[in-house]
Amino acid sequence: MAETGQISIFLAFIVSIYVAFAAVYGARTYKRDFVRSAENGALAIFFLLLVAVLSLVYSLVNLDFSLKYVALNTSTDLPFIYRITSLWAGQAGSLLLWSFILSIYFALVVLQTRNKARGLMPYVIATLAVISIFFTFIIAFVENPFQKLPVVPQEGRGLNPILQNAYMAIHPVTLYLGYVGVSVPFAFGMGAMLSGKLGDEWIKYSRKWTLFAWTFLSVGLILGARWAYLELGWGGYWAWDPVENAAFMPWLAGTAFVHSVMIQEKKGMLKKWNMSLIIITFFLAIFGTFITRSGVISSVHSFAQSDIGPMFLGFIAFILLFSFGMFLYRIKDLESENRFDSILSRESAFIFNNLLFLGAAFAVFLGTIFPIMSEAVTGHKILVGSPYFNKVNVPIALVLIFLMGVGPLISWRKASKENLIKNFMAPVLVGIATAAVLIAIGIRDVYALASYSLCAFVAMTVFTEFFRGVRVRSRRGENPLMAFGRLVSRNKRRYGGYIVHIGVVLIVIGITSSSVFVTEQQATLSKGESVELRDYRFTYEGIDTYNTPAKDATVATLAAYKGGKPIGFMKPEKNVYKYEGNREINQETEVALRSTFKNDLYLILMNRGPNGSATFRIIINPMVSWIWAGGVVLLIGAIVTMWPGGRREREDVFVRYTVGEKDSTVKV
Amino acid sequence: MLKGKLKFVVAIVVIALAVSYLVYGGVKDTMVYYLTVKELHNRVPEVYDQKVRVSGTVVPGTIKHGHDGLLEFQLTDGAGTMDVAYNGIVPDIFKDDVEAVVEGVYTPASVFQADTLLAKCPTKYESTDDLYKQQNYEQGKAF
Amino acid sequence: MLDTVITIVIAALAAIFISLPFFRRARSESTGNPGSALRPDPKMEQLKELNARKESLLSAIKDIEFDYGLGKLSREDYEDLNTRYKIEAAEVLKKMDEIAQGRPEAPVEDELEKEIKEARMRGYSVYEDDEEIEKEILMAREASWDRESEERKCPECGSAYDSGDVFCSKCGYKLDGDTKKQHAESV
Repeated sequence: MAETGQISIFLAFIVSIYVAFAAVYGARTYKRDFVRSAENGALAIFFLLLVAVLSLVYSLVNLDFSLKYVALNTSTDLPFIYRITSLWAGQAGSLLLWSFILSIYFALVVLQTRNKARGLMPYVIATLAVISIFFTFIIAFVENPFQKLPVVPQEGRGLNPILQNAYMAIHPVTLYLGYVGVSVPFAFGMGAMLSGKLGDEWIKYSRKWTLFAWTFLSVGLILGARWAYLELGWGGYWAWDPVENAAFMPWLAGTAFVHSVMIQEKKGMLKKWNMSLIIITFFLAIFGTFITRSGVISSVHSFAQSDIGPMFLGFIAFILLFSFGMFLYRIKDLESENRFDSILSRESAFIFNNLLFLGAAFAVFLGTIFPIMSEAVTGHKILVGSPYFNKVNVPIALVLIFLMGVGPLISWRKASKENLIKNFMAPVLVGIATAAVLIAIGIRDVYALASYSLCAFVAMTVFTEFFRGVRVRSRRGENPLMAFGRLVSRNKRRYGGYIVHIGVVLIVIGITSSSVFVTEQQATLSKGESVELRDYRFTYEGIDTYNTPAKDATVATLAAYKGGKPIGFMKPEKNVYKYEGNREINQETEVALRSTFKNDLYLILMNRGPNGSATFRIIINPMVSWIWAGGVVLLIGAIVTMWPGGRREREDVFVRYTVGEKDSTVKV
Repeated sequence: MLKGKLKFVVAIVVIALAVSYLVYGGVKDTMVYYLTVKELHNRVPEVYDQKVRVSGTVVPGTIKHGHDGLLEFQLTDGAGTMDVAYNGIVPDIFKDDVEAVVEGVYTPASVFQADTLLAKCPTKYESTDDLYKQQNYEQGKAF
Repeated sequence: MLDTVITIVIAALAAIFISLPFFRRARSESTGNPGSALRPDPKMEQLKELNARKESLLSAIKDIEFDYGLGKLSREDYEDLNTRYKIEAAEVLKKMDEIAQGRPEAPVEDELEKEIKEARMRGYSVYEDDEEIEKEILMAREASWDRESEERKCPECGSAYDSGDVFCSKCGYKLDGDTKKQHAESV
């Protein structure tokens, strides 16, 4: 099986080269069969990489230790499901996954636009093919998942215990779906520049892909945070670690892009901006992949040093030079169709939104590469830590939340005074009232007050939008529930977007509460002793051990009380995985967690002392569950925006009817 | 019309300046030197009471867990060694020979008081040597 | 051994699939259908671009009607924007007709207004998706296209030709200006 897999990868590389050339040649000489062949080539790449992936999974499941990758990432005691997820545990496997996901997107794009946008598509295909060339080259010649070992070991090294967890099983996949997905709108943008079709076509066709990629980047980030919270056991969910930032930067640029394309669609403006922005977003996605994979910025995450670093840099340089070169070449054709009228308008709210998102992306980028830059310039490595990122991003975030409320309600072109008063009176009052109530109950932290009030403001604006829309429809005789359903389904992008904003509001509230109002305490207790924190009490009842085939576990039991009333038992653990010396990591702390909407009780067993005593760290983290809940709402909203609504399909049908297209291969 | 455009440009410049100011201030307030153990020793005594980060590997056999959660160990970069004291959550990866990063202050008592401890998987992560170590023990273990 | 066979089969399948379009073309070339040429009909391209613009405008009109109905837009702003969009939409339609038919049409603003009004009068609320409006326009268009394409026949062999054709695709007869003019006048 392994030979098949290896050769498939090599074939995928060759076919990618063919596709790039065939697509461009076919486009320039108007030879449809070459373009068709290139399209089939894209489908073939998917097929070949599927074979490679299945081949590797087969080897992993069957513990074929003759393969270096299998030997390094599995062991005989590894449960079945994790043998499959170990596909992306190591460098070579995750690069194969990257290539494979790219080929899925590639194939879907080809199938979806099979008979459309004929001028544009060949160049889109060529761009995706070039990206595919790079990644298949790496897995074919540099980091080959099917590399063999000269001597077959008896036992594999095993999978890092932290990765044996449901979240870690899906987090990389969702993140990759996001990262890789950004290639699609980028390819459309490049296609537009290469073909000269610089109108709205590229944005129209890439819209759903952009939303899809953005959704997965968001979900990937949230899952990663949840995983860190549960598994890394320090009570937090985000550390501004370079690898975390690597995923956050394309998300920031991508969010800006998702908003600014709306302006191009509605007003024909910001064409140059959108083109540059998608190039930047793609650059950040590849750069993020590079940081994570090459270990060039030391991070607790990065799990391998290897030669691929310089290659990534080369690829990045090539992409930047080529894209911006094309951009300058086509700059005259990217003129706006309209002018800006007023600073108080939806257009300008969107522009400020973009500037702030990019400002944040720039700040995070700077902070992330600071050590490398400072070493290059001064010879000393200088770091900026968490406080820097928080200091810079919190004010930016607050303004963005404000804009999130303003944007949907303010008019296009120029907001009149009466428009402002009519639309914003209620939300502003709600915001102020919230601040007043919070101050009254004793909250004094400026950032918390600002954050909560702005969130209330935004929530009110969204509520108003839904309320008005439902009211208008019910006046016509529909019952409110039907009205709501119809309202959303007829305006999926708008109301789906509002739902996403609500999700963001929930996340922000969760982050604010857990950052500003978190309390912790460390205590060494002997049996029977208690520790109190806020209105909770924890009584240490005892410590015990148990064994499973995989691990020796030590578990402490604490009885928890809230305001004097018992609320259950918390059992933090410290485990030692067997096969010592066979794994780099064999120790694992399992946090005891109890979540409610108000608070997370987070208990860590730090160590076991003499005479049955033990040291604990207790953290009370307010409203962390709002973050995860907000993530779910965000996902729902995103799905609503992407839900097929028939509009685009009708458009194309309409064109064919009106224009009388007589191409025999068209399926109406 | 032009006045409108001017307002815009002004707003954009204001935003850019504000972000730059935040970045500048942020960097100034939180920048921390990242040193190796040897570099730290070279900077004595200026480095006392200055917040720095030091990286190195954990010297085998020096890890001591005290009862109150106190952790003591020695960090080395091959050229110099340093005593570290830390009280807090210890990463699971942390053990002998692991690459560790501590952030804190080097005291005149020649002990590094760390308030942050990070550990990284050793660079030889992709090494296959230890795969073969087991061969001797686990002969005859059928797969 | 099995491995090698599977590998060869996979490689072969991929290669065949990729070269398929070249064989299809060879087949269709022998039946004289030049339909696989990619050379874009510039008129078609322009029409598509204009159509996309028209769609954006219709969508924008719908949006502001929606906003106005919700009370987010003042009457003044609404009328102002509405007029702008409508004027632009009418111009786009006009251009589209010119290209499609090869001659300038009668004033289209009235036509557009009429179509929108008709759609509304049928009880379709302003808050419906503009699909209803579209349907009306589509049906009106279809009716006139059907009429026209029935008449567009090559004088030599009698088969139908497209408005953009210079030569009859069946017999090669040159469809000169006179033939086309005759047709246009008869509609």
